[in-house]
Amino acid sequence: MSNIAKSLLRLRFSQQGLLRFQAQLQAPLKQQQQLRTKASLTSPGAIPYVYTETPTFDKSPEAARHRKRLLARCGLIGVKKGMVPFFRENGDKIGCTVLEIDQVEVIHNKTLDNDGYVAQQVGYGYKLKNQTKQMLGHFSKAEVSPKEKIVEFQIKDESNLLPVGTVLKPSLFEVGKFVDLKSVSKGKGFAGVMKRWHFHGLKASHGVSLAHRSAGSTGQNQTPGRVLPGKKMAGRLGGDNVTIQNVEIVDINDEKGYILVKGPVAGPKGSYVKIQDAIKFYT
Amino acid sequence: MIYLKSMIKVIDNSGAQLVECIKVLRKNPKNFASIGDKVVVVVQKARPISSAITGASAANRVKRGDICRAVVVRTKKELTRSDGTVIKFDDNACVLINKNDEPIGTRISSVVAKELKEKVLIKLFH
Amino acid sequence: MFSLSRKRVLGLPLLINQRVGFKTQTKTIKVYEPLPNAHKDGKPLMDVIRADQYKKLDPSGIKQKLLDSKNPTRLRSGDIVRINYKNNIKPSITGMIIALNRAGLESNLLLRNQVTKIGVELRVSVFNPIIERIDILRKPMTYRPRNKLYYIRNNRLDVGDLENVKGKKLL
Repeated sequence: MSNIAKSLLRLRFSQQGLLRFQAQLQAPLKQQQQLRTKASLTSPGAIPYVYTETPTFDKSPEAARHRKRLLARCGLIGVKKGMVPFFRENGDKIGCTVLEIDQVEVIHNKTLDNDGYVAQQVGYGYKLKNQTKQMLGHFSKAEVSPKEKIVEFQIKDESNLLPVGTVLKPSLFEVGKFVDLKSVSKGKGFAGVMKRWHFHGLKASHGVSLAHRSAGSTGQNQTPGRVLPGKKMAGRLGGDNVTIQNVEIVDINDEKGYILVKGPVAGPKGSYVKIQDAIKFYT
Repeated sequence: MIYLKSMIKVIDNSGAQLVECIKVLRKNPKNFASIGDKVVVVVQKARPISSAITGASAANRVKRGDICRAVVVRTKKELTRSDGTVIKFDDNACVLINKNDEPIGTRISSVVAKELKEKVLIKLFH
Repeated sequence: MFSLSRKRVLGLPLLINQRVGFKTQTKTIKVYEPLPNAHKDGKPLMDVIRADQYKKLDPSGIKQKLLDSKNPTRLRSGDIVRINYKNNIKPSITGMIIALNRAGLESNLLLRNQVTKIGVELRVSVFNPIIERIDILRKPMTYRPRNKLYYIRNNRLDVGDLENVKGKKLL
């Protein structure tokens, strides 16, 4: 096939379709080229049928899934228990958070065909009281005990899904490797601007009355005549999803079921923490 | 915590006794110098130059009003080390250096923090 | 890393009455037994971890005894002590305890000394494994009426040069 014909085809059909078409016609084309004695154009209209694949749109869930930096495997759920000092062998002292890993089991696997994405559902702990019948059926299907907390870990590939009923131990991770920790920070309620946005407040004296912790002005006068969007004001503080990235694992104990991670973790004691491989290291 | 207007004691034999910080080098404007950091200082109080001192040390002597660089060797502010030890001195002290990080004086009369050994100033406290 | 869970049904399976047409059927949902608990002897996890750390950092219990408030020869504010490091990886530290912070594994001593007439204060973690031992060099005849001796700084009560160190010294 001549180059001009190729370029014409490119105009009309997608690249993938063209390649497929070329593959179909590869053998006869070669013969033609050998026999050809003068230049000729293959009319695009002469090609009866070319298979083109439906393109994936950027906004489709599938395209979104490909865009995401997904990890290869699932993580763990832990409960924040408190902090302890930890001394390294060279005498370095670091503050560590204790995350308890108790009866973490795989409950359900979500697949591409069924759910449109790949995810592993993992449960933590044991709780029988106030379980709904639907949930009891869900646990019974997986042949695991009723759980107190369930989370999902979206992963990249179906081949890495663990079988339902697998018990996950802290040794899923290794000492010295890095993880991301997701938890909900402590709720502070309705907080003023000094606490929420670190404003300086107004003066303590010089005629200021009853407005020492005020935000002051929130904008101009008639122009624009409104408070601009995004203005930092008083409001709800805390209770947000917080991810702490690249946290080092300091110690692991399978027998007693805990992980020690370096530094603090958002949220009060007793809050659930999602522990995953660090996305910046392992994707 | 050494910043603009901090008065620092000088513990070498460069001739200066008391200097005032006028700039903390390579730090955020809101930040302060701690042990091992370099600062620009102006000499506020110096020993009088006596004729007894001759040679290289005499040429290096500073006098009141001179602007030179210095490295902080002791601070009142606590410094935490990696093993959890916290060290704190009773005064703020520095040693004068030139632009090539070489000390202006020839010896140091008193105690300094160990961190200086790990930092650039190996020439000073080998 | 992974293991498959033990499958045992709890004593009483849950029964549900389901209406199918005009009849009522009884369906059973199996409820599985929880996994055996981790080996914690019924203690809270934090206590277990702390106990493990004490066992690891202070196997002989000497450091714990030095801090024990019932021990008559315990460390007190006003004592002059020397801290010796393992294999001399760091020079030993001498100083008077001016504050003693009992905080479990975080417990620390605030030592004050004067080197070439410059007051130097060091806060040292007692349970750091690189600390081999803490020697009590001198106990005062009578203790001062406070446990935190911050008020002795830079006055006539201040500590002297406890080590008689001459010249420059890296602290």
